Amino acid sequence: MRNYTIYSIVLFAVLMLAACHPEKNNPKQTVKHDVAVTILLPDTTFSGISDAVLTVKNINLNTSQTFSTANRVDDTTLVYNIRLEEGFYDFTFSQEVLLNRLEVKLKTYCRNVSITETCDVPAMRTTIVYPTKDFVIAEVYFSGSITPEGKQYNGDKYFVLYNNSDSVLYADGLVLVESEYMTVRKEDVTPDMMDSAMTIDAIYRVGGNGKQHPVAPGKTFLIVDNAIDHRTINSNSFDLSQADVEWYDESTNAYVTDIDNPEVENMEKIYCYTLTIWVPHNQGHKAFAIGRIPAEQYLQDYFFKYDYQLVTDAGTFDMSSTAYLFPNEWIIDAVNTAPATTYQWQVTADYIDAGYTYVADYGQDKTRYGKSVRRKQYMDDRGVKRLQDTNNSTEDFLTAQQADPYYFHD
Amino acid sequence: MLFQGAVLHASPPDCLVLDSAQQVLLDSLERMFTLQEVVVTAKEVTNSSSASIIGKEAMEHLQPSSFTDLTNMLPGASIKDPNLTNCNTIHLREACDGTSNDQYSTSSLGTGFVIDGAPMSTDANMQYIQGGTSNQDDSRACVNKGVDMRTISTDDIEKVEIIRGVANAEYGDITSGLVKIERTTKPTPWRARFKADGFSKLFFVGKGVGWNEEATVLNFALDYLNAKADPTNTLENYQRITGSVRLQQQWKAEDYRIKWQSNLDYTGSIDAEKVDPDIHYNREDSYRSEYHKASWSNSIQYSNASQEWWSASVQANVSAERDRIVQSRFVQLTTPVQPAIDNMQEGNATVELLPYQYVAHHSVEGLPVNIFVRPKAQFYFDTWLLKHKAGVGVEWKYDKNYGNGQVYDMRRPLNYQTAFRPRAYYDIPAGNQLGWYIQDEIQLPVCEMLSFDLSVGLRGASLLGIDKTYAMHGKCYLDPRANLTMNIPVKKGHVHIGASVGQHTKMPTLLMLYPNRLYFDLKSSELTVTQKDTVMNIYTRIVNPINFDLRPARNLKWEVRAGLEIDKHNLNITYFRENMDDGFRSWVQCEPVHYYIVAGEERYDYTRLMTYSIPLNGSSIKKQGVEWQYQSPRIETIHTRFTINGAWLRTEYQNSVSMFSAGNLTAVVNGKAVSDRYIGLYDWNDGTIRENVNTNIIADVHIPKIGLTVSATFELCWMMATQTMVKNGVPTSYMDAEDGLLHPYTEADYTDSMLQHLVFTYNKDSFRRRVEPFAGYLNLRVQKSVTKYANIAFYVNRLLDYMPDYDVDGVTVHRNVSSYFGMEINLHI
Repeated sequence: MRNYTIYSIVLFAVLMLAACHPEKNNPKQTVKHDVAVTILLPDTTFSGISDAVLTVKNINLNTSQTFSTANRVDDTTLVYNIRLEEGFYDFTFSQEVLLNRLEVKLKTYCRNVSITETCDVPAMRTTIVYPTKDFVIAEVYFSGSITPEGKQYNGDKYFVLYNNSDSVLYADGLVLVESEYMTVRKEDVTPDMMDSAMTIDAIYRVGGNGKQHPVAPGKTFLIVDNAIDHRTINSNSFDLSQADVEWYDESTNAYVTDIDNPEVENMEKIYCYTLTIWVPHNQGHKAFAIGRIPAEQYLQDYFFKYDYQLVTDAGTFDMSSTAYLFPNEWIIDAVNTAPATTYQWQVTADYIDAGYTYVADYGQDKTRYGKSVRRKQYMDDRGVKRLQDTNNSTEDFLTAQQADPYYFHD
Repeated sequence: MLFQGAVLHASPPDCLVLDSAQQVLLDSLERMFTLQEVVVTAKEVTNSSSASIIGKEAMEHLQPSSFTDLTNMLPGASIKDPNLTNCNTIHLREACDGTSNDQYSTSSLGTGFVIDGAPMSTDANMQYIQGGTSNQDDSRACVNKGVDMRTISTDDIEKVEIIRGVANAEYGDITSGLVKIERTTKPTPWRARFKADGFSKLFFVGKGVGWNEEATVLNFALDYLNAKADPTNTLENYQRITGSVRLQQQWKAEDYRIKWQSNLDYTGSIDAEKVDPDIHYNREDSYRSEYHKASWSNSIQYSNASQEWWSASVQANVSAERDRIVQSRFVQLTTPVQPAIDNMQEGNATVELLPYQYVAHHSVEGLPVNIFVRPKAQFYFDTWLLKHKAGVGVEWKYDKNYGNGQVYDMRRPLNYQTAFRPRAYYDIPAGNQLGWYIQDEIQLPVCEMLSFDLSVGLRGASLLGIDKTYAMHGKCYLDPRANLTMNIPVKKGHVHIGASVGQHTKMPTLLMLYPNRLYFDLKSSELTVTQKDTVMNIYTRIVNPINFDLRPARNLKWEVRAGLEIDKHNLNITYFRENMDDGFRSWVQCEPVHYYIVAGEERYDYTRLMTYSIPLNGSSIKKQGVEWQYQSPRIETIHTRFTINGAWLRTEYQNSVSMFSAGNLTAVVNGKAVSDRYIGLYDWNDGTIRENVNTNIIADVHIPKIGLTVSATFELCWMMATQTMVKNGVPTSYMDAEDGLLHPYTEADYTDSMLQHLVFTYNKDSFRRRVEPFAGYLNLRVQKSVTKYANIAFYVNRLLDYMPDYDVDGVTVHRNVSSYFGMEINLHI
């Protein structure tokens, strides 16, 4: 039966695809064809870490062979000229490259291609596959809610982190930072450190000894301003009392009183620009990132003074300010946010985040309350739920989602 | 009949010596006899310090809504549209219309307003909502800023003299200038005016009647103004009602004349803002600020008709206001927990937490009472060639606020994030000011070709009844003032050159002498508040920020003038300088506070710095400039007169003492606020320099035959420049909470994780001068009599404008303005 099938397919291929060049016309012998496999590479600069390998699997025979010699036609086109027997094949291309200082894989595949005399393998466009080794920012709720009486409520903002890897991760030592610069106001900053570090105005760290905050693969870690049931204050809000950690702002001023949930661990406040309680920018004019600090004397060594030009309707003003630097290599994930129509620039390096996401069309947009930005989900080839992370928030995030701190819970 | 009200003194018998009021009468007589010469612009006075005189015709032509509009006629001023839903203060000789920075409001506070001889006092004005927490009130409050010109109606005014230069020694408690308002005191027909523009409506009716050959004259007037911030919004508006009854009685006998003037005035104004009841949210929100002022002023003038060498008068007035601000606001907490602090005592206290939502009601009840009494005498005599008009007077000014002050429930505050406590204004001591002056106006006719007018005066002012601990106790502040004018007659006129110099002193207001106590509500940084808690422990520290070293603000002015008056061509140029180094300022004081919080058995001790503001003589305002005005005679063939006036003004606003600055120091490092531990002392210039040059060319056409007056004002603003003074953001030293001492700021501190935040970085380009180039406008005013009894008028501000784009650092700035217009009808029956 199996031979019959094979022969039938071979016969069908011979009859239908005359473009391949048989070495011999003897049907009893194995017929080989010259096949040109075209790989289209991304239109960006990268350098190879490993060889570009084309794996060709003969489906009928369940045999595979790899090819690593290819002709580079131009910057974005790679052609493998190979000889294959007639048959059905899966083509898989893979290469590890350094793209914007990040180790990523270029991958593409084409399945069930029949090679006959007339066959032509369709050109395969590669995609960049980012590693899923760590946490990603799954959801950011920065706009706050609105009470049934129409007043702004700020106390219920949160960040959801997601373990996008295959192993248990520990949130201990993880820091949450907010950018100093605003995505809605382009500033010509001197010195320009964007390529090497993110300039930040708030940084809070999850405590722990390294093993206290385990997060299983596919599970979330909820960081909130106040880990209380906000519904008792504002029926449009949520119960955040089950959060993993909260940021707590100490003050000796009685009018700056943050609420504390003793059951939920407080984050360490390393630095914040405000004497009052930190609330992420409620129109979403900032970028947020998570990372880890390997340095010991962070506050001394990463203090940053800079000059910039403030361009307003009334003219251009030269300004100076101070903030802290957060080196890009410490960043695990970042997301730029800006109202859709007022976005001006990225406040992180492009290779950290190449796009932005939003909850509002414009800054004062009142529909933004109660909305968050949430990362897209997909099932990987092993059927595991992953969050999309191509380091481009425009692509990776769903905009203006109904905020739900437990959305990623099973 | 024409000399009604004028008391003439012949000394020597062939020479008339007139005081300024009498001069006006003669001026108006002259006008009547010179082919109804109409002056629709401000006139510069020539024989004393620089001043502008605005007559009735000019006011009628201007079509004002309030006194604010009259200041548009001063040299260097640009035409501004009425803004009747904000406090309007005066900015004499300030470039670019002055600054809105309250640290430099001594300039407007120190501009005196005198209505029919009675000064308006604002020293007991305390109408503001504490804490600067009310958007509605912030722009309307006029505390420590002087007179709100919106409240002065113009329709009953006969003449205004705005003295920009050195005022006569008779006038005190001023630094910047003096506005003398004289209202109509003569029989008039029924007069009515109805004005409307896009934002306001104004009604006026008035009449003057005379009996017994006008020995008795009664004038009365009523005025109503209703203005909106936005014509489409009826919920935010300003209303003003003024009523005035004025009686003048004269008794003439062989050897004396007595004139008694008694004025009874009422001014009421209401600022209101409400929320549209059709809107679902915030229906409880409302704001209303009422001002009701009643005043009674009297003056009795006695002149000896037979001796004719002296006269005496007494001015006495009393005014009382009932001011009330009422604001309600629906408040919801934006964060989960806030304390409801009602602790009035220093020390530890347990306070409740605020509910998540409530309606706050706040009222400010003020009852200022002002009394002013001034007896004075004038003497007329000659010594050698000199003709003297000497004056001496003494005055007493009393200010007291009997109001209940800030009244609200501390546990339901309007703004829950600022520390304030109610205060009854009647607890604040009264202000008593004693002033005296002596002056001599001397005429020296050297020869036919030269004469001098010299006015020298000395004024003294003291605060009475002030506690010994104040540096001002028992002190008398002297203001010497002098004006000299040299007159050189030439063919068909004369040339005059003059100079003035004078010191001017403004006493602090009651709120500066007796500022509100400050409350610092402190808590533990370790003890936290949870959702289950209903109370929290605090420590309250009370500071009484009285500055016993407070002094009056003093402005030294000088100016030189030159002018000519030839064949009705009139030219005046003045160069002036004003220097005030001790203007009033809220100055930040810094000191450590040690406190503890007790929770159960535990006691937590803390030390931190606190900053608070005290009133201090720490603001410097330096003004200089050149003012000019040329007025042509009316060219009969085209019925047109040309007036060209303008000014170059440069004003420097600056602090005159080093400053602690914690305002920018908001960094929190490792969970600790840097400003709790360290605050820097900066030897810097927190100032700006403003400068502008402008010229107004006014062509007015007056055709009596058809009763038409048209004026076109070409307003040319050649440039406006502002520059922030160079600031050095590196502290010279800093205070450490641990020892309460000042430590020099050293190199090593630049890398300290906390102290590095004390350096405020300023880009040197921030201190560049920013210049707005030329802008030109055409304003038009038309008056036409339609019958014997009525005339109609309209005006358009900025009918045409020319505002070219300009580039700033590669960025093109487009400018645009909109026109503003109004019209009115006047009836004379």
